[in-house]
Amino acid sequence: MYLTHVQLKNWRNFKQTAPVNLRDKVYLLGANAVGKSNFLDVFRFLRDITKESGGGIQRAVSERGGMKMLRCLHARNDSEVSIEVGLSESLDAPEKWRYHLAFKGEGKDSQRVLVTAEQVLLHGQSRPVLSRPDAGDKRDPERLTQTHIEQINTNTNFREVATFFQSVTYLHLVPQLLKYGNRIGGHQLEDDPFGQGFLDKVACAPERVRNSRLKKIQKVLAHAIPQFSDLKFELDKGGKPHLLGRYEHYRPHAGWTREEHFSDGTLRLISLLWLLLDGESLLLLEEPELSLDDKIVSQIPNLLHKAEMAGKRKPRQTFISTHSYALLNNESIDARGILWLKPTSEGTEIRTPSEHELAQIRAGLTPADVFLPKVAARLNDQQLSFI
Amino acid sequence: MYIQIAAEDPLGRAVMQRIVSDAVPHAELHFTACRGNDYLKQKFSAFATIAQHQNPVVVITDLDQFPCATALMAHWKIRQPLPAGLLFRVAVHEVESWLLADRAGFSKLFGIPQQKLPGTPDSVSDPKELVIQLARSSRLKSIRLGIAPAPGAAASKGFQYNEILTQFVLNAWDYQAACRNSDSLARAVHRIAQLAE
Repeated sequence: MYLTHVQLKNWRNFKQTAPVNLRDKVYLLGANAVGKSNFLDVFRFLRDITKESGGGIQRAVSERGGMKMLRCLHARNDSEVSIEVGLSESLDAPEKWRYHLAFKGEGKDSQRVLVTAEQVLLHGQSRPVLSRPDAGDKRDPERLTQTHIEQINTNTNFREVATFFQSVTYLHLVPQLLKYGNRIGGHQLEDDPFGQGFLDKVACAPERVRNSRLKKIQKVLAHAIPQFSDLKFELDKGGKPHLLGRYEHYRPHAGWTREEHFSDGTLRLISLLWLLLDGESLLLLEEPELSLDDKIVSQIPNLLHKAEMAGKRKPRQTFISTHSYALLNNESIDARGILWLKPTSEGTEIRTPSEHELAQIRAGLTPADVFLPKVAARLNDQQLSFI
Repeated sequence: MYIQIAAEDPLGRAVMQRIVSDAVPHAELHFTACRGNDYLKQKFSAFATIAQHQNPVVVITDLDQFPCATALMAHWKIRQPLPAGLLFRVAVHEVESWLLADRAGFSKLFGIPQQKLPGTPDSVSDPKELVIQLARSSRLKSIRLGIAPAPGAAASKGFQYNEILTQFVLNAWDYQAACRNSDSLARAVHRIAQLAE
């Protein structure tokens, strides 16, 4: 399943967006603080509502600091937040499902959230699969504190949509949390957005799958990291999972080094590659370029492509937020997947490339050439110096 | 001998790597970053200084839409004569023409008949575009999917364009045969051979 479009109202920076078409690889560009992470958070929010353990709209909203933090500051009168997405089997097929959810705070000092609309449309059916508020909601307004998609009893007719949201994966691996997690007594968040539990994920994969993936990853690392020669997985005496690597520049019998001695870049690259080989669900990547050498960064779009070619899988829909020139300076990126965020006095606008811009890319310019100058912060070096 | 190679893209770099390492077998080759022709233009005076005082520098760029190399050099504000150690070579119109000029090798790589290839690739005004068109007509899936952008995509190349073509250049390209079909390549090979002397 793929997300074909999204439309937002009052979601954080976004006061009202037009419906935005999505491709299998979406590159999200924008200056700092215009809402790149907030855009990705829409899909994490849908996952949080539908997740099997402790999901639900109340918790998803309260984890984000409540309606006050969630709703757009530019929304003065209208306090309703609304999210609409389309789903289809393939990107060029007609939309199969449309899911629309709107909600607002109950008011009266209450921290609760009430669903103001929840609709599900299925292609080919003239009547909606779900359209709330319905007669039941009128009889019992308490029901509006829950969405139907979060409940197994009520999402039977559109389970496919709920399952899709549940399987969304987000990763913004923070190497320090992985390396020093134990020592700083790091509390691990549910869904592990920062990759602390990455090694447990590796440990949970069936042995054959794990070995085959690590072999593929090792091949990439051998090219990307000078003198890197071997990568293996091991449980220590206490049963804790570890990754071990070997470098040629150490003494020949120097043995293996554990992940806590890997460089930040190595760890990020390993986790990125693992994710690319893992699963088919929507993948959200936050600035994958961090701590990586430009040469490697410039290969990220190609790696995304290769992971699919090798596995003979359907392309994994991936949303990537980035600032990187190296990543975007690639003539093979399909620029129809570019979204750039533009701050305005009425919230952030989501721009898609114009026909003119697409023609420039088809003629040989890269997304870095065409779009980065438009999204760059408007200041020069002098304005940033404050001493 | 320490020789520096400055190319605008990985393909140009591979072409020079192949020719220079054959011409000067014990050369120690060093490569500057591939950052497009603007970068080469910006750094040109530095290359000239290095070539004059330190080591030979080979600069390779595409002619693109300039009518001739002289016009391109005028645009780059290059003052003649160049120092002896500086080789400035211009592929007409793009380095892809030099690959197309090896008709037997290229037709084998792409799985297309030789008749489909241009007789004088130097006269093709947009060789990159031609390479992509040829890839689309290939019977090899790896070429169709790797070299050409996906159908409908707003992109100018496939994801394996550089990889497939640089591997070809480094391992299979018969540039001696290609010289017979491309004057600009023949001149470049000839000048590079003089570097060894």
